[in-house]
Amino acid sequence: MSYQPGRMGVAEGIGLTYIVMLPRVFLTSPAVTISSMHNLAWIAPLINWVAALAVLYLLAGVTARVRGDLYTVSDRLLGRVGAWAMAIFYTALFILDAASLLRQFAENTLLTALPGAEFRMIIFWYILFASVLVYFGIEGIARSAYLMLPFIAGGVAAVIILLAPFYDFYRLLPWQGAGVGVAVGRGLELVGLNLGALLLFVLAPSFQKPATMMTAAFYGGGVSALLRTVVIFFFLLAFGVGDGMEKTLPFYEMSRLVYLSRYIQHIEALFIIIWVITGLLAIAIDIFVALYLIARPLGLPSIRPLVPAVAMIVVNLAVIPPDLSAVIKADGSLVLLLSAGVFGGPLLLVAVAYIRKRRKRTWSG
Amino acid sequence: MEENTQFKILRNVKRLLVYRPPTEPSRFVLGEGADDGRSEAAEEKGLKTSAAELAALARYGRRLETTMAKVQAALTGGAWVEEGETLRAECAALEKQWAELRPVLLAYDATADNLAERPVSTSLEENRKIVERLYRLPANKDVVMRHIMLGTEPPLKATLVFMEGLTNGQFVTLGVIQPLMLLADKRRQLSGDGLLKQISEQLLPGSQVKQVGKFRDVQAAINMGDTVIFFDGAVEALQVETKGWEHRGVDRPMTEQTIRGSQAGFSENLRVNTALVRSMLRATDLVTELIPVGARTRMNCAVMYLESVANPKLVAEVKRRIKKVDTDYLNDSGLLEQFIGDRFILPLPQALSTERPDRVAAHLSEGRVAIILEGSPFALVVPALFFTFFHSGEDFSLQPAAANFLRFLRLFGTLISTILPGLYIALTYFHQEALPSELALAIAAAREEVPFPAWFEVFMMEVSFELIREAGIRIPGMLGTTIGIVGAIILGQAAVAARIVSPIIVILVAITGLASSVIPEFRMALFARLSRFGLLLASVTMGLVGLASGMLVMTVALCSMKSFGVPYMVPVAPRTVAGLDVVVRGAAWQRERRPDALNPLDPSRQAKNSREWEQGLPAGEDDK
Repeated sequence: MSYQPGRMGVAEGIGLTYIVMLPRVFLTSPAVTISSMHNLAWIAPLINWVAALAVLYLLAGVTARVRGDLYTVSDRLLGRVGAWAMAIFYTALFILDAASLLRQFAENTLLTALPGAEFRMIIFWYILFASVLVYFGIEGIARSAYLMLPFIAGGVAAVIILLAPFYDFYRLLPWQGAGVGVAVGRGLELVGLNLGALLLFVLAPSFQKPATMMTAAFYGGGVSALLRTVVIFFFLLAFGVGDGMEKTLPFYEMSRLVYLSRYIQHIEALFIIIWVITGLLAIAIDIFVALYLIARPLGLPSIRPLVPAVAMIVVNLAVIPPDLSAVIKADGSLVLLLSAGVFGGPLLLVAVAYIRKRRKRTWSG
Repeated sequence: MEENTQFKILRNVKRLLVYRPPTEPSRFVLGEGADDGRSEAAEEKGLKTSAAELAALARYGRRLETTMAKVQAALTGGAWVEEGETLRAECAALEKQWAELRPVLLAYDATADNLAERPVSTSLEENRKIVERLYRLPANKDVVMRHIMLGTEPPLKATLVFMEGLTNGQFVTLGVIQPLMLLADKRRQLSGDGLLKQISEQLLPGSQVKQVGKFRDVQAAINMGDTVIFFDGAVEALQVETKGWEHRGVDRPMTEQTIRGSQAGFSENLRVNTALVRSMLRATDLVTELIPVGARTRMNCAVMYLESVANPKLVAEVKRRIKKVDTDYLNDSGLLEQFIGDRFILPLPQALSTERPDRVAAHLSEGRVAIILEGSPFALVVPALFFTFFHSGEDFSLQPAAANFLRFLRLFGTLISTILPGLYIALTYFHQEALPSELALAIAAAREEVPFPAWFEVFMMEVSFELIREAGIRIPGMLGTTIGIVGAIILGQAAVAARIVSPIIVILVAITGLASSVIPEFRMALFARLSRFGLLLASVTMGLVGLASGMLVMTVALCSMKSFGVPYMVPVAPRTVAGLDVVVRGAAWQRERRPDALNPLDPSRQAKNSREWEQGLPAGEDDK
């Protein structure tokens, strides 16, 4: 497998984007959002997605003129050192994201699905399977993610529909929550949850042209943002702000609440399948993108030999926080760092491209 | 005379003291070492080559001497006018033979050792010797060499070579030897450069006659059941098609039986198989290319495709892969598939294996390529996609609703067959809360007296089921049914009564076993069964987390796989135009396009409106 990914299209782009942006909806993220934005928390995913989309749109404008992946574009605009810095920065971000997801999914598996299991075994299991997925290549991962989209969306929809008897629309009041200003500010802080959409520009040669990438980003990120919005919205309807802030795993709590009859009373176990699939795919995609960003400047012909090494790094980073509260805290900080990644790199490239364009005009004029 | 005790003692003492050679022959041990005689063999081989060349020269000398004597006799005896034509022909043959032997005299050509690469000689005697060496005659009794004399003017010596058992003996006698011996009379003037052409046009009634110039082609022809005829003085030989080996006739397909649709299945005869396909798909641009495969056996492999539909790149790639196969012997198309298929970690079929000519014809019309290997009753169709393995031959003969129901049933069966044991273990071991209380209690009650853990029960029963299935196939005749009945009793009633397994496990294994049988393709069914064990193991280890991980890896693997350049999960992943024939099949008149993923030259299968009769008036109502 060369570090150059295969040929992909809009569908694969959608699959990659939505799956890498979605996992935190199954983790503590919705509860954290509610704690800061209260009743208007559901709007946060839409705000940060619009912001991310605007940045991606600007970046697409740059890549329309300077064709190539993120490294090539950086090389052309920032020079070799700048390109290396960008590659290292985004490698670190994707590796940290993978580590954070790995730890959180392992912790939550221990909490909910396998309380009697050995923690190290769960970590080992996740990283082993994620590495196997990376071994198969990004094309297979992207297509599988696209295949999983209806099942995941269907699963979320099923929980939401089955919870209908528990909804109380008064729980959305006051509708402005902690205030629109807080919602916008906090929503922009969480723009890092959309870092995954940048992978389209990292793997740009696979997607033929910027229009393909933007279509994939729009729909893939849109689906993800919509699902996150919907989950937080109905979570608020079911639990309200007060109870909602106390839940560690909002979606799990929602699925636990389902009781229709004595035959449909506990469906939360079945949603473990959806969590695991989403988590494993997201971790694998993060690792692949990180490997790509390592291999690209070094000119390595293959990334396969690096898979075990990067997997080990991810595991070691994942086990650094001592307990779950530390993990949640660290993830909060990481999201801020990811937000810097979403805004920082692309805006720098856009700015440099703009300056160069102006200089050219000045010189030619 | 009866021996007394003293004699017996003496005899035994003598046996102890006196050496006698062993009565048993020494055991045969095949050793391999420095002195294994190979170098000697090589030397001997070189000597043999030289001896053969010298013998050829000697034969030429003797022939020259004989001819000169004849010429002398004719000149002195005054018979030059009568025998002039004969002698002229002989002299011409001698000239050709000399031209051929001249390089041998000048230099001992190294390649001359490779008999297969040698051209057919003008000397009949030379050709006979080469055939004898090639086929180890007279030790080999399969190869028949028949020497005849054509009663032409001048008389012409010929040698027929064919393989007993592979040829149609009656045709060789009546269609080759008889015309040559009876029809070639003195009125026919057979001579000169056009000798072979004259013979093939005037004397041989066989449907296929062609000239072969090298012993490689001669061997291939003889091995294929054709008869090769060498004529004295001719620089080439004639190959007459006389194939006629015993083979199974066209019968019902054994593994792909259908209620509707064609009931003809492939046999082991390549030509019969290609003819069956052609009889189903009577298109002039249906091309059947023959490619010999196998370094030693040169089995013919037919590559069939519709030239106006199939993508040329696909056809070229299939041919390239087959031509590059370098192996001794291929006895089945399944073996060939392993040589030409892409390497992949999972044991998934990469070509559709079918014994139904109607299915091959249907796939050819979509732009796929069929590969039929000589001696194998299974044709390969490439590229094969995941969903193709869940289609059956009769899907297309049924109304869409019925066909779709069956397809969903098969996919559901596959899912059940693959995940049910793993899901059961995951739920009962790790996630009991997912079960309704009554069901959980029922399972617990059923398992109360069983001493083994649930995973062991499932594993044991699954393995037992596989054993019975395999034994049922391998044991011949009626015993297979007996084994099935005995196995079912053991698996069912007896195992439960003995409290080795719980009844619910018996139900589970029975459902799983039945479900795996609905997959039409044997190899895909086998993959589902193997996956079941993998998912079971994952579920035993990590419950639903394990099951989900296993399923995900399988999905990603399937999405990564390709069959002859086409992604395996097309048209779902990647998405292409499905053409209403993936899981849901549209009505025949709605399926206007050929599969997009194959990039056929002609993407349209039929007109936009293939039911034009609906636009007109019913018959007989024109005048109303």
